[in-house]
Amino acid sequence: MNLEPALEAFFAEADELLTRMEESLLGLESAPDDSELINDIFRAAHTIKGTAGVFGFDDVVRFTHEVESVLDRVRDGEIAVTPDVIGLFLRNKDHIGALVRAVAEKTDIDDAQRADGETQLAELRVLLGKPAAVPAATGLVAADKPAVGASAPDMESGSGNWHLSLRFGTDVLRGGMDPLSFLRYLRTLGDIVHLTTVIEALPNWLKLDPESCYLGFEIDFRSDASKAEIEGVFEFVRDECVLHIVPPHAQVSEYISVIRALPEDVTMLGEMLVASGALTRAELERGLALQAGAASAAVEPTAEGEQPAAAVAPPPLGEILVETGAVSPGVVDAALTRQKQVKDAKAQEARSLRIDADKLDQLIELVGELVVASAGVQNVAQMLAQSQLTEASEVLSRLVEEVRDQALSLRMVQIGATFQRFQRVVRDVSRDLGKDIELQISGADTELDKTVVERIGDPLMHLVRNSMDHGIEPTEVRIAAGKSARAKVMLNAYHEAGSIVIDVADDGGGLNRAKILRKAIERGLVPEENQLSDREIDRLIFEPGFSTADAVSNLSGRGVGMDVVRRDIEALRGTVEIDTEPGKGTRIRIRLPLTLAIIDGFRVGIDKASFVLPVDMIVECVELAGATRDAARIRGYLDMRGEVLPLLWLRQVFDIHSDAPPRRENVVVVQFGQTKAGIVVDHLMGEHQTVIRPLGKLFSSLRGVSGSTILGSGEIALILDVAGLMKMAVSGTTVSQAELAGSAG
Amino acid sequence: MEIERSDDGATVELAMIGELTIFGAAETYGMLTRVLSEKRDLRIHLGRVTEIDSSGVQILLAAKRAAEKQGHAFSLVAHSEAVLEVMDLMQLSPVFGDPVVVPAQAA
Repeated sequence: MNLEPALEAFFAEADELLTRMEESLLGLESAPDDSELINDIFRAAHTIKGTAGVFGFDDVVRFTHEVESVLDRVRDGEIAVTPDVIGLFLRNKDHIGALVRAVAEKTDIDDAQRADGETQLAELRVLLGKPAAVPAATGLVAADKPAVGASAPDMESGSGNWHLSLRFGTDVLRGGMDPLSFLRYLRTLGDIVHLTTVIEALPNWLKLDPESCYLGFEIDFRSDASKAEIEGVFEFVRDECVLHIVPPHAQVSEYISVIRALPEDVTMLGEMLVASGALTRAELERGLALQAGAASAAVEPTAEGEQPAAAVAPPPLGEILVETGAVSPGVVDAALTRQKQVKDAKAQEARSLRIDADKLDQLIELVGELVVASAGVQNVAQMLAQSQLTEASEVLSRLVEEVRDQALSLRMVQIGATFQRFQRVVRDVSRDLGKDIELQISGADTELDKTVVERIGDPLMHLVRNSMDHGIEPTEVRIAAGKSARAKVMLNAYHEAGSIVIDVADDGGGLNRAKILRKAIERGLVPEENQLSDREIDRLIFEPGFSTADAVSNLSGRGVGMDVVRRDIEALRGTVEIDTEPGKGTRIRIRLPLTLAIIDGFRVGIDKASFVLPVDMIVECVELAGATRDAARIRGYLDMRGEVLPLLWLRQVFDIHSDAPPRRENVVVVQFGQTKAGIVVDHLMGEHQTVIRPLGKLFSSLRGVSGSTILGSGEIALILDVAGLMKMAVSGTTVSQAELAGSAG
Repeated sequence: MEIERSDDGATVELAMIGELTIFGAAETYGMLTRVLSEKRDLRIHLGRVTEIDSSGVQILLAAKRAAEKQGHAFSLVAHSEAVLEVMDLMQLSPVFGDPVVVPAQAA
């Protein structure tokens, strides 16, 4: 049997649970009394332990078990929630993560991690009031003393164990079965932590029948097996013995959580309990038989005394089960609540499905092909100009468009999870730095492509650390400057004109331009006599080999500079802007495309060549003709209703020469961020769904072009990089000039 | 199942040989009933027991109780490995209270 998918699911789940645990822990810092948070944390730890146990990841189980024990005490209010305790739990969470990762990567944790884990275990044990050092050996028991304590070094409370109460029928031995063999079999499912042989039934010698069985056992059993599995051990003597299986304390809460998570098609109480594992099928059948028995017993007097039937309704199954000791009342309650919930809200429940990311990528790829194909059909339809075909192709292309949007939205995830990770970072780093910093998150529900989310994590991390390390002043300086002692780092995300904007802002000291310029001159990044604008100076921090850190701290200055941030973001077809005000703070604004795969394009043409612009960035199109055109040619800009619009002639940018200059030109007004510019082209060819294909490595340094696409006709069109073009428009360079400048600098 | 009886004047020693299981339970019971009726101190030598099951354990427990009720000593000695395994499984050593020599194989 292939366990890999199950393992994959476990690792993914563990990851989510750990993240949730961290969020709740951080939440607990500001609300130490919130029992819901504590429960959340407990559940997360518990589920990880349980699942790890199923797969036999003993290291994870052993460590998580201790964490869970402490959490249990916290939950019961026996251990107070102090910042130290939360700090310990956070480290615990990291260690569990490391353990799980080690399992996932089939490696061992390194010595430092191992030592750290042991330290944490010792701290946990101190909280539990146990001796910090616990003998590691298990099971070696000297036979001449009671074996209770020694055989159960870390499960001494018994609450984590199953309890089996077992009395054999007198004929078991005669039937050829030895009670001992069941014990031996039971040991294959787990550890017998403690066992008492019950000999009270043994008669005195003369009454003894040597072939009868008088034995019974009370067993504390530690195992990850389910109740049904444990019951299965005794299958052959099930009818000849009395067996009670009491689940471990923790198991009860597990049953409860399983019951809460049961699918909606299970609505019968008994079935629910069996599904959760709290009740075995055999126990249920006995309970139902009892219920039926009670019912028929109740029916008889009715027939004779003609009492109203309602008064003699059979006892509810739940009651019977609790009375016979098959399940605990808490579990039945949970099942009953769930039963009600299911009945109430059967229709409304939100469901989600876990899908392999590769499958999704394949789908998107196919949708891409579909888009190209449908554009081809549309092309043909236009050429043939046959109304029926045109109509059909219109319908087709509209549907394809919807399919495309839906498919792409599958890949969209909220950025919130990424943002939340930074709570922890800010907390830890602010402690390390001795600064009081709070993280404010907004726009956490903004959605963007999963690939982008995955790849934006590192740059964001660097920016946030940078803000805390360099941006925010030491507390004394803040107070002296009349600012609040508690500094703020803000993460904000929102959509704007077809891109997503992520702001990393702080209310620190802002950039020190004099210092930046000095450093830049020192490192030969700019010639000394150059006059630079404030903005240009600010942008210097994104230059390779630039660092203002006077002392290299362990946070920044680790060889990963802001230039790497810029490169990462540009690799995502995004841009970085910086906005800083001395004494007030700094804001770094990242602008990213919504998706990396397919866009709504707008086709423009120069002579016979086609180019595609992202529709989202286009504000409007205007005709450029007559006197305006001549004036624009000379001035290089256009008077747009009183606004200056810099123009860029695409023909010049790409050096396209043609013998017959067009009689008419058009300006496509594009907006990127706060800047607008006009791109002058020959023809406007309308909207076109565009599947982006990256250009080869050879063209990676090409400016103004971000990719290519295949048109319906099979021709290739270049996708224009609006941000890059606008830089050129504003600075008035062309590709060749820019290239020259690039190689010179 | 075989039982060898020896007598040093103070104590009767019964050496159990072979399987102390349900198959010889009736026989063992009969033998022990005879010995118990003598009302002497008893010592059971288990060194040559190759197999023991619940019935064997039961008989030993009942015999111990019976002897002690009469006011006589009852002890188990030289537990074989098979006996030790079962005693350990049922965690009965404290119940019998006899000193047990654990074989010095694993330290």
